[in-house]
Amino acid sequence: MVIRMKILRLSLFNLRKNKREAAAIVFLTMITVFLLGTALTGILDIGKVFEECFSATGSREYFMEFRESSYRSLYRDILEEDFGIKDNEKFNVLFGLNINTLRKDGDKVAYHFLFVTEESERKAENFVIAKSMQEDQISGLAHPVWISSGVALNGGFEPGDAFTMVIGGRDYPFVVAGVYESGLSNNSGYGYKLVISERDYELLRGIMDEYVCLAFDAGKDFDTAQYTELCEERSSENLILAMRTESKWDEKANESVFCQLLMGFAIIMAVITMAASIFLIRHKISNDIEDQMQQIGVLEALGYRSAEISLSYILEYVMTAGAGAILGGVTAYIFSPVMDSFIGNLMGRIIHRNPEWLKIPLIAAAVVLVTTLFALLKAGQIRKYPPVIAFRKGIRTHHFGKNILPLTKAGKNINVTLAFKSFFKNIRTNIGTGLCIVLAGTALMYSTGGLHFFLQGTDAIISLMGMEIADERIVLLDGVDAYAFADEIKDFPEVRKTLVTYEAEYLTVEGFDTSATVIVYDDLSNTENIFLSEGRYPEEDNEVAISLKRSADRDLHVGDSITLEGSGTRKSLIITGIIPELSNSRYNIYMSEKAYLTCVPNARPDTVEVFLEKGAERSEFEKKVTEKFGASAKDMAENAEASGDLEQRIRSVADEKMATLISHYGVSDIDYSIVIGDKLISGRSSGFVIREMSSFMDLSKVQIEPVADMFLLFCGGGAIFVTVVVAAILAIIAASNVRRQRKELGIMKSMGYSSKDLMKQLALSMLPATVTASVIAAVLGATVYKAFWYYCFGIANDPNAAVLAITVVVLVIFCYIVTYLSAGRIRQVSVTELMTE
Amino acid sequence: MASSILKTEKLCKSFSNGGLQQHVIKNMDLEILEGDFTIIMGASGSGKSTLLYALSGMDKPTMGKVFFGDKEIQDLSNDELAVFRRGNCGFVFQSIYLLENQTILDNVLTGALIVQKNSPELVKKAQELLKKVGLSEEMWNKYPNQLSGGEAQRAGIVRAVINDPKILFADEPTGQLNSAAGRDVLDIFTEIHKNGQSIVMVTHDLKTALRGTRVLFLRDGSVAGEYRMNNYDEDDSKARRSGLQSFLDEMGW
Repeated sequence: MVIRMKILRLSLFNLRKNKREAAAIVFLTMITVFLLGTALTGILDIGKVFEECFSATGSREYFMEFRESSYRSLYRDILEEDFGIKDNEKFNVLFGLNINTLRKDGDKVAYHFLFVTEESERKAENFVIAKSMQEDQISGLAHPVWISSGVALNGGFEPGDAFTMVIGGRDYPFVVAGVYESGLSNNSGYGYKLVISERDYELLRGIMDEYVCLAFDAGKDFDTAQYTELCEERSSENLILAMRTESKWDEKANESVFCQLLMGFAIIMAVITMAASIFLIRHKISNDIEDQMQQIGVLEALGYRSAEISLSYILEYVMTAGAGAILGGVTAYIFSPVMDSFIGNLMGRIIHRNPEWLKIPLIAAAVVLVTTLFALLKAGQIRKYPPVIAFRKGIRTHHFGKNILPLTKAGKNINVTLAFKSFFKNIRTNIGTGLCIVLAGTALMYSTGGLHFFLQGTDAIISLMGMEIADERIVLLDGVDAYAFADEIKDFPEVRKTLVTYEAEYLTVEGFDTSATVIVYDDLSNTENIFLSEGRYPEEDNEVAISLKRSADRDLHVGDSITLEGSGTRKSLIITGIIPELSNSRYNIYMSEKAYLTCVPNARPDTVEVFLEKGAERSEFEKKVTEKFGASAKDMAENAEASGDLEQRIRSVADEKMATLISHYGVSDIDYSIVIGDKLISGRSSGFVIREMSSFMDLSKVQIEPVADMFLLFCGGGAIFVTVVVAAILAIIAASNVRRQRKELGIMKSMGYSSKDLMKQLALSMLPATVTASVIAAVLGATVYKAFWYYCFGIANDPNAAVLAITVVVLVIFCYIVTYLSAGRIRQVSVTELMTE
Repeated sequence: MASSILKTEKLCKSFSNGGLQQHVIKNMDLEILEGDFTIIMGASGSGKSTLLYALSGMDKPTMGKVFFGDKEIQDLSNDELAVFRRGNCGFVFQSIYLLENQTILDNVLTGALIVQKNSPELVKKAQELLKKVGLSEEMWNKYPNQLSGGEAQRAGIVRAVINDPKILFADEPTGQLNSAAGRDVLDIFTEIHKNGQSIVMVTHDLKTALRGTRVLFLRDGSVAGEYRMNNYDEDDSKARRSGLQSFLDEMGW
């Protein structure tokens, strides 16, 4: 009992003596448990969280959406007969691509939307309302809309908010009646599902593409490719452009990818923190033993066993790590609603989950156990010091080795020389410090690389898209000469450049399941957002460039061949280049117009991409284009407003009807004649030039902004966190070194070395370790950064070398300053205490 | 008449101990003359070491003034005092306090290089001084724990004088040495003093005190008495000893 009390007293004495170091270890352990607790109880369960959310909606697992004009009843028969899925629902949806919407913050952004009536929605899922206006308020709304949680979180919409869509220059003023939880169609890629009234559905039907949707459950193994093939085979329809498929598992993968990245990030940070904590504990035990060697000798002489004395050190870390673990666990519990909200924002869902709180005490116990284990291993060194050796202060203070950097060869600055001598003297500690800084520095380099990249805003990600993101994309009607149109547009003063291309075209690449988006230009070298990672742009009619992801998936390289299948054609092309890209599932193929026409001989260029001069207003440009070439068929079809005298009104209605036929039903040429009384009013469609004008920029904003914001948060938070950890490591090591070297420092002071000299020496002595570690961290950080982009997005994105170099310099300076300031305890060392020893 | 190198005016030093003020030095007016070998003696707790720290600028007085030449040093900051010490003072400690992780030669040079630039002449000077105190070349690259106490203290003296300090302070330099080693060390002090070095040494050992030229006896924080002697001469030690002994007896030592 007496021994136990003595051990406890010794532990408490050490804790009280080194409060700051103890506080730092408590802090680091707390962070470790918090991060691990959060990652392992929340983010790691992301699959489970999704399942719980999805299941709460009662949604069907698959949506097969066919363009209304391409839908055949046999598609449902195939599902029922060939796949045995009798339990399915059929309903109609409207699909609006790239619809400008006024966000709550006043920003105009573009979303893909699916519109359904409540009746259809109830066929797809249970229409679970998360929050809504009062019934009587809703009944008073002219255009109520129930929005899925995804768009509500993305745009910050709440019940009662205006929800204005701008279609063809005309506002469609809806009001958010409620937010509901949607199983599928709840992300920016596929589009968000909106539930509207039947009257509004009918209104929008005239201006949007209608799809027939088959919704059903079929389990994870349902083969959508096989189903599509069967549908195409039996209907002789090409469904590439006429069909959309959504599944629970695609949705899950889309929504959880960022949460998984967050989890990885949290775990890496936790590992770094724990490694730092363990290193500090080992370092502190070493110093404590050295510092208290004579006391240890006295205790041993009094009959205490080494194990009992070791226990006092271990007990100290059980107490500090235990306190940190409890604080970390409580913090993880308290912060769980914040984390849920964060995860919910990333997933676009209202989180339903019952976290396994029991995991937190287990994690905390595991962290304390690991910490104790490392403390135990280090404290075991007391066995090496029987009383006599302990009285002589062990063998650590006995130096018989080679005199590294003898002062006879000292340079101009004695402080630098002594610092380097000290570095070699404490080489093991410095290697440990270096390793900690390598770990933390790698995370810092990765974070600053990402921070620099994402601080450039959406432009940075757009530069990785591997496709042109023009300011304006003008799709022309059949028969319009795209090159002549582009030449005319180029004469506009606000136009910097035009490129002629083809509206989204698809070809099949032999050996790949999914079709490939083909990016076609007359000369790819004129593009400004398609970058090669290898080879050159394809020029000849037998050349092609492929995406980096496709290249990596099948080990395809420059000089290899791929076979493309178009409508009735099959052609082998040589790969001339590899292009990293983030768009279209990362499977684009790139070819010159010459090559494309050999695959699809009847294709005609129909799209002009317009790049405006800096500062030019897109709306002004659109206005000028409309003035010169007339409104687009789509805009006219959507702007059904007739005014003026009878003839004007008739012509307006006729133009609108023609526009609808052209833009939505593929009609290419129309004549009309109307006799009213003795007056003949006639016209024809040849006045139409433009089918549609749009911009990918707005859509990119919706899809990219949240991701960019999230990564910015990760990287910024990560950089700050790592900086704090590095500061804690260095501060403790510096403080601990001061304590250990108190006597030496006193002697140096007696010789006339000032506190500043000694602080400088201590800070300089850690410089070789920090410089080497920072450089290694930069190399590792760059590797991790590249690997992250490659494995997560299939693209090559190198960190900015200048940013890394600056980070190395800043890290080294930061380490120096932190060590210097932390060595401030040297000021408290007085020479007189030497003499009164 | 020798000029004053150190002077105190109404020097006071108090320590607070559990709320109680303990006045160790009380209103002391004292002058240390250039070229003197001043010995400070007194019973335990009489304030010998406290006075040494205050005189050498290692500690700040509670009140009063300390003049080093014409310069007041009591109000200097710790770093200013460090700079002051490096050019003016040398120290020899009872516990020797060599840097254990440095060789003997490096210990000496560590003291020198904070004041002087590294040069072959400086290294040569350090080596010659080490030789002079009886530390041969094979010892220069040894570490302190490889030397005897006497050898280590000799290295400590070389370290203290390498910068030619204006005054050398020594706090019971033979306290941890056997008599033979102590005598060797004292011989070095005598030699240094003969070469004009001002020395202030704290001791409670009569043999050590005999080496001085002026003995100050402290009692209750004040100089109770002073005894002057000629420069040390071994042949004259008997008479010297009886004279000093009488003084000390008178002081109640």
